[in-house]
Amino acid sequence: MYDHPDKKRRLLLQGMAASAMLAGSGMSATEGAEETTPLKRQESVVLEGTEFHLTIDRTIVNVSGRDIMATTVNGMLPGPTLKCREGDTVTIRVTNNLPVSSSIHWHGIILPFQMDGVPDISFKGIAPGETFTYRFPVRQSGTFWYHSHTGFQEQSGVHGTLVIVPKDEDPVVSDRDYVVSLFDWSDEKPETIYRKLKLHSDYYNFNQRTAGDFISEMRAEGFWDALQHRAMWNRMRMSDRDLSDVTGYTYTYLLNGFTNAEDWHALFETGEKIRLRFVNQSAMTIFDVRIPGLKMTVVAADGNPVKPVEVDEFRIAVAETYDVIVAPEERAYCIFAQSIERSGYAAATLAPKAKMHAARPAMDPPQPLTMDDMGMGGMTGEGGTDTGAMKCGGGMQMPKEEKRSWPITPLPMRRGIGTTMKAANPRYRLDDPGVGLRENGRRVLTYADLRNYYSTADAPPPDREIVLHLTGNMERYMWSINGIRYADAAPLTFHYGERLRITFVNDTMMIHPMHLHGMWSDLETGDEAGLVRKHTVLVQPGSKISYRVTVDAEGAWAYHCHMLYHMPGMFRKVEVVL
Amino acid sequence: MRAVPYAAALLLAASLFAEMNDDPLRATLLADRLETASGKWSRWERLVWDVSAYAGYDLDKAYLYSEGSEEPGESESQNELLYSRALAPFWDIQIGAEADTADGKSVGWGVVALQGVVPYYFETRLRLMVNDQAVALNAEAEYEMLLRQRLVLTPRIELQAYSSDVEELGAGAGLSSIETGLRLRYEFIREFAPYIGVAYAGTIGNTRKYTPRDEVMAVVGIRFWF
Repeated sequence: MYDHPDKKRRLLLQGMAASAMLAGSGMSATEGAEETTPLKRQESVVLEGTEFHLTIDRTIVNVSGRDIMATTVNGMLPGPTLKCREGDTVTIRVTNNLPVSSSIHWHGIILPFQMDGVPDISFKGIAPGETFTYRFPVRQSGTFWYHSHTGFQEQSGVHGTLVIVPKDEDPVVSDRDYVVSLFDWSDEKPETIYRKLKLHSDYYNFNQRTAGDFISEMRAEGFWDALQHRAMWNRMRMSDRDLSDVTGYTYTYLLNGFTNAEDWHALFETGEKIRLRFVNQSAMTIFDVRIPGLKMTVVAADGNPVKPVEVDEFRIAVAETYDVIVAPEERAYCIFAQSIERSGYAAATLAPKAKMHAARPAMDPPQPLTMDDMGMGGMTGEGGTDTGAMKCGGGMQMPKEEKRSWPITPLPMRRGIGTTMKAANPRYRLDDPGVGLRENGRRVLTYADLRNYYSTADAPPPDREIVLHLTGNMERYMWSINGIRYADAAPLTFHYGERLRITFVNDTMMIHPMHLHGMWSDLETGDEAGLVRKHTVLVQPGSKISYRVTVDAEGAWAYHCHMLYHMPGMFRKVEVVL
Repeated sequence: MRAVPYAAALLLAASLFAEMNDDPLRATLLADRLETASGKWSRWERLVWDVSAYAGYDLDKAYLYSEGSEEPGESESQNELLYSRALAPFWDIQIGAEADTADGKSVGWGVVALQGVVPYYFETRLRLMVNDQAVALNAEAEYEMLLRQRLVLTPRIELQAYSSDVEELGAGAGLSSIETGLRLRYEFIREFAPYIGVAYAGTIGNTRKYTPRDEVMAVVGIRFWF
C-alpha cells in the first residue's frame, strides 16, 4: 500500500532549490529496461537543469483506497515537474519500461518535429525497453506540460508539468511560485471507459433530465413553453444536459496528485504575491477555477504573457494553462476547481500555515445547454426557448470579418452517419464565459478579456483561410473533423512561410479544446494588436472561433481535440510543405 | 463453443492496444427483460426473456436476438442472427435469418430489420420476415422516461402480424398479437437494474382460433448488460 509521508514534505515546488540537484541522469527508479515489475508510487518532485532522465513505468497508485496499476513518469503521479531555462538546449532521455510502446510529447513547445513525440507522425514511438533521447533548444518560457501521445496512457498517468524560466527578465513578478496541476484519475482502465462510451455515450451522466425537472420547468416557464422546450430537444434526439462525457462517477479529481482529503497546501508569507501556474492535465475534464474571497490576476495563457486581467473565476479546458497572481491576506483560502458538469471538484488550500484550512464552497448547480450552444442562437422559431442565460447581440465581440480579403481553401466535407448536428447559426462567442458560468455573479474570464502582453500590430495578415468543422455523433460516440474521422482523412497541407487563418465551427454540443502542434495559434480577440498566443483553443459548442497561424515549422505535426476520448477520431495530420 | 468468447476477448484486447483506434472491436450482451410473470392462469410460472448481443464496430455489427416466453404447457421464442449496418446517424439496417419456435415446432425466416431512435427518443425496431409460407411483420417501440437519475419508467409495445396462417406457430393471418408493458427499474449501477411492472399479452383476430390469450400480468425481473 502507498503510505502518505508528511504532507509538508510533499509540497511541490516548495523547495525548488533543494530538489534542483536531483536533476540529471541516474535518478530513475528502475534501471533494467526489461524489468516491468510494478513500482510503488513516489512523491512528485521538481527536476531542474538541462539534462533529464525519465522512465515510463507501471506503477501501483492508491487514489481511492484501492491499489491500481498506473502508467507513470519516474513512478510519480503526476510525473516530475521539469524546470529548464529559455536559451538552453535540453536533453531528455525517456526510457519506456512498459510492455507496450510509449511516447512523451512536449505540449506547446516549439521544437523540431522529430522531437515532438507523436507516434506515427513525428517518430515511431518508444518501443518497450527502448530509450529515446529528445534534444532541442528551448526558445520560449512559461508554464507548459508534457504527456504520452500513445493510446490512452495519459489518462492512466503519463503526464507532468514543464516550467521554463525566461532568459531575460520575467514580465510576471512574484515572490513565490507554485504549480497547480489538475487531473482526473479513474480506477477504471481507460479502455474500459472508452468502451462504455461507445456502448452507452451517456453512461457517466447522472445529471440527465428527469420527469421532476419537467415539473419545475413547468412552474418556471409555464406548461406550454416547458413542453415545447422539452419537445425541441427530444425531437433532435439530443440532451441539453450533455456537458461532459466522463464524470465524477468514475473520476477522482486530483490537484498536484493529491486528493481533496489529502488537501495539498500552498504556503505563503503575508504580503507576498503568489504565482499559481494552473495546468489542466486531465484526460476529459474541463474545470472552473476560483479561490473564494481572493481576486486572481491572469498574467499568462498557455505559457505566454497576457495583459493582466483581474477575475474571480476562469474556465480551464483540457491542456490549457493559466498563470495567475494572487495577493492573499493572512488567512486560509480554498483553491477550488469544479468540473464543468459539477459532478466533483479538486480542492487545495492556500494558507500562511500548514495547519490552517478554509471552508470549501458548495459546487454550483450545473446549467443546461442553451440554443446558443446548439449554434441556433438568434434564430427565429425558438419557441421562446432561449433560456436567456447569456448576453448576446450588439455587445458580442468578434473579429473584424469585414476586412476579410483572403481566399478560403475548400476542404472535403462529409455529412453522414458520423454527424448528428449542424450549427445552423454558429457565432463568435468570445465574451461568453460558457455554460455553467453565465450570470453567476462573479467576474469570469472570457477569451474576449485576453490581450497579448506584447503588441501584435505588426503581425502579417493571413494569406488564406481554412474552415474546419468539429463534428460528431453522440449516440454512436463517433468524433470527426469535417465529418471525416482521422483514419479516413487526408493530411492537411500547410505551406511553409504562409500565414493561415483557421476558423473552427463547432457542429457538436460539446466543448473541444483544439491543439495544433509545432506552431502557435494566435487567437483573434477582436483586437489586431492583441492576438493571444495559445497552443490549445477551447471551441464552445455551436460556436465559431478563429486564429492565425504562422507556418514556420517544417515537418509533420498533429492537430487534434485534446479530449482524450474524442482524439482518436477528431484528429488531423498536418504536413508543412515548402 | 467455449473458444468463441475467448477468441473475442483476445481480439478485443489486441484492438485496444492499437494506437489511436477510434473504432475498436467491442462485444456486449444486453438482457433487456429477464422476468417472471404472474397472471390469471399462472402464478409466477411464466418466464420471459428478451436478450440481444452484438460484436462489431461503429458501423458494422453482428447481432443476435432472442426473445420468448416459457410456462407449463406453452413456450415460444424468436431467435435472430443478423448483420447490422449503420444506415443513418440514428438508424441501422439489419439482414439475416430467424428461427421461431412454438411448443416444440419451429419455422425459419429470412429477415430485414430497421433499428433506431426516432425523434423524441423512442427506440424502435421494425422487422420484416419472409419464408415460402408467409410474410410477417414485427414492430416494437420502447421509451425510457427518467423519473430520477436511476429510476426509469419504460413503456413498451410490440405488435406482430402475418400475411397468412402459420399453423406451426399458432398464428393466424392479419394482426396476430400485441404485447405491451410498463416497467419501473432502478439502476444500482448502469449494468444492473431490477424492475417491477405490469404487462399485457393478447392475441388478436384469426390467431385466437389457435392461441386464445388475453392476460394482464404482474412482472418482476432484472435488466443487465456487460
